[in-house]
Amino acid sequence: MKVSNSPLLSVKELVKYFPVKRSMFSRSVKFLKAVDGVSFEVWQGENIAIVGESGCGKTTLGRMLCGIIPPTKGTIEYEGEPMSKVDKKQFVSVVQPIFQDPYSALNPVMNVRQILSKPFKLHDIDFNDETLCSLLEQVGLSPPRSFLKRYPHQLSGGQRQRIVIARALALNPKLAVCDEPVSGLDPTVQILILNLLRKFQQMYRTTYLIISHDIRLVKSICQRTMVMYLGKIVEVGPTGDVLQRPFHPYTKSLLQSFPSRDPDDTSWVDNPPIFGDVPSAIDPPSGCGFRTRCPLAVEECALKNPTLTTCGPNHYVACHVVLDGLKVGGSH
Amino acid sequence: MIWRFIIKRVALSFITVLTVVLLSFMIIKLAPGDPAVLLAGAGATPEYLKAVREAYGLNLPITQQLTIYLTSVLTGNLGHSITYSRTVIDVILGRLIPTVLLATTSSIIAIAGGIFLGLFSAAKPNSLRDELINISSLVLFSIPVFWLGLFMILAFAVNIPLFPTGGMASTTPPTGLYAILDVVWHMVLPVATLSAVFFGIYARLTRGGLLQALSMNYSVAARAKGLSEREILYHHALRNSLLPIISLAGTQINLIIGALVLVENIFSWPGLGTLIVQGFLHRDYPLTTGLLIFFAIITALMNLFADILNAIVDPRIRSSVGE
Amino acid sequence: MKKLSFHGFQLIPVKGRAILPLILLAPIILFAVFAYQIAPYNPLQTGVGESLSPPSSRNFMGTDQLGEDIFSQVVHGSRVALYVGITSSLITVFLALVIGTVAGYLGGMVDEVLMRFTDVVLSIPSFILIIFIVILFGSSINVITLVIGVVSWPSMARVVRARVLSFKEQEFVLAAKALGANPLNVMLFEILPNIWLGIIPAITLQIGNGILTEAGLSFLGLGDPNVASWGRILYLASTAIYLGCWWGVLFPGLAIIVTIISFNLLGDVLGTSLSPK
Repeated sequence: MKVSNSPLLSVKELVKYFPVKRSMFSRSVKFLKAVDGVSFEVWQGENIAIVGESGCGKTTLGRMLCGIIPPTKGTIEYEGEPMSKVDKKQFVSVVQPIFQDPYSALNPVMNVRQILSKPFKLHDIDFNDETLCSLLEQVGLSPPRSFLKRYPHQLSGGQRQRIVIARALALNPKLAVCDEPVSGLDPTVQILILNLLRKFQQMYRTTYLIISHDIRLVKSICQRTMVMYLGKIVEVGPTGDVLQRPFHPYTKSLLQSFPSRDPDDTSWVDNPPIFGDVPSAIDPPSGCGFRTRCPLAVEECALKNPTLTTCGPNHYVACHVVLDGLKVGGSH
Repeated sequence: MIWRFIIKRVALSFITVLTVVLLSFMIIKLAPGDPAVLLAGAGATPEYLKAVREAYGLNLPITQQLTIYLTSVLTGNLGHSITYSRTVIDVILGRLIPTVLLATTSSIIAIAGGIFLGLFSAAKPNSLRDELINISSLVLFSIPVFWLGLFMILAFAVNIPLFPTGGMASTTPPTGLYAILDVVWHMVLPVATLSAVFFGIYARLTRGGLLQALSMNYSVAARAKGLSEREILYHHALRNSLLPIISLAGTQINLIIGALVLVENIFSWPGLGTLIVQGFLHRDYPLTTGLLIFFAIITALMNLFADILNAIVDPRIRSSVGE
Repeated sequence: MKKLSFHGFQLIPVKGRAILPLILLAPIILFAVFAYQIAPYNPLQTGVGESLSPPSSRNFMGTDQLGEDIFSQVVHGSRVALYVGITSSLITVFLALVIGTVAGYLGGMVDEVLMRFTDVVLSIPSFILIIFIVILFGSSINVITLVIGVVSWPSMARVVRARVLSFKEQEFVLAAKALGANPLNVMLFEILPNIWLGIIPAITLQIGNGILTEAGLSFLGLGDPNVASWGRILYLASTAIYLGCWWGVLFPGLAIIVTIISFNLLGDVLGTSLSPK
């Protein structure tokens, strides 16, 4: 009973610091705060998106969730069980990564048969060519037998990504962490891969955690969206709300920075929505991380670190100015 | 910054030498036969054997033996040579000068010649002459030094008797300035042999270094200023890659020592290379152990010198010792 | 041009450059395999000809001062050379792969310690160390081969480590980890297959080095006296060189040079043509 009541994934105060060696001789070790206190939950069947600029920690977060790198602090729970306690073999069938770069995600010296049999071999599950072929058919590669002997360099980008998906979903994981699953592909192929992910969700009830900066992808497949900036979540809520009525100034500028569909609309070039570069995650600004680039920043932002506070149904934002405005306006 | 690098690097050299000392101890211990007999020589009297046992503490537990061994080595005591009945240090120092003379002369000629060839080669990369120099470098590098030495003797000492077949001086050496000329005359063939082998290596190193320098930003900038390729090559690229080339040359010391031992033996050069073979033939274990440690120190010093030179030239290296 | 593919590696056409070293090596390999059929005499049997006789119809590479047939020694010498070269480089490859892969993949302290150790071994004067060990343990060909293999791993281990580092963060390695593969599995089945072809150039160079080192030892008279090594022929010839014994220098020398050049060329060619795609 406990299992069905718990969220599929629950992350509490997750932190990942990477030690930065500035030189061989300096004693003081600095830390790159890739992920700095992130908490959220993912429920079965509810796809969640993590958006943000490159370097905001979303990839690191995804890798921690897949058990590829250990967190510095905090807990990751799957169905109420801490990740450290879940049996390694069982854990693998709970969560699997789907990688960004279909070129480096497949071992160049292994053929498709070797690549796809790896999950079965590692988990002592019986399989034969039929198993592999049906897997290939499910990801839309036919005739499947002709693919078994091919090496990655003999496949196109889209075909590679299908193999990556087939490998990740071979053991029917409950959660698939997809890091930019389509960004390396042609637009037409992107749509096909997206449909494939949808199909798998319908067939196996796989839940996706999608890491992306592609708003269209997020809109089309994710129910909830999380916005990350400098290792922290700045806004989270239902995808429609976050994308249509963003509260956080960072979310607003991030959305504006995506070119509109109108090719004649060049206003985003002349009026860049965000000024300056992302500050270093080694020495992040005090208080709110975004204040150095924020058009709304006030003194308070440098003093206090804003916490996620409700600003709408299931919608949370971490910004002093916005939250103060909501209080004054009494719209809540 | 640079001082911290040097201190670290010196420590590493010290550890290297220490490792060789420990290794020599271990190997002597592992070797078949009684170490006392090994150290005293097969024909030693029982009294001398006893004395050696006590001096090295061979009856004591192994850790104490090691301590005795280490302290004696660190205080410069490498034991007594069986064949020469003198201290090993004395024997080694007595043979040092001929070896240094041969090694430095050959290295200087090889480096100068190699740089010249590399420059010639890099001036027109992938041209016919570049390809020719490249192939002949490979061929030179592939010729065993001992075969080249024999060939030299056969050609220039036996068939055309221009030079002596070996040794460092004539049996009745002339006096004054002629003594120096006599040594130079004896040096020609061994030096030619040793440097020929390393021409190829240095030419390749130079070519690589120069071509890399030519692709660097300062060369691009110089080209943009309108300097000719020739000026860039000589003034910018060569100056910037000279020190790295010399320091790379220092890292070849391991190869040089091997070649030196062979060449000295071919030409009966009275240096350390012939000494170690004599030590072998007479089963003079203290002497060969001492030579091993001595060569380890020389190698460590040369590598140290090369690395420090390199660090002065290239600041990136300072932050990653030995990388 | 048709691209050859081998276990996922594309062999870029080498325009016949690889053919030259292979043609040069062919007689050496033939000698080694069919030594007993080709050599007219037992290589170490004295008195099969006049002492120090120049090439003749009876001993067509001449004889040394012990009256041994030099042609038979050259033929059998190729056996010794290939045995020493290949066996010692197999030992080297094994050590280099283990140390380089473990250091590169595990990283951190393990890497630091192993790499410092590599630095230390790299700066030991190896030829002197080999002489030292051979003095104490006797100059049997197996001791010599083993020692050559054991002292030569550091530079190859560095090459291996660098390649491991370049693969370690690749997504296919992360994928294997996420599938629950342990470090040993990742190193053996994901990373190693990607690097072993890449170190083939280093292996061929090492074969050449091994052959040269053994020949050098034998040339100094420190080699295995019971084995017909090319270096031993040169050693005997060097003492008779003043008598004009050019045949004792020329023929074994040619054998060594051809073999070394072939392996070095092979390494050169393979280095530019073997690249994983």
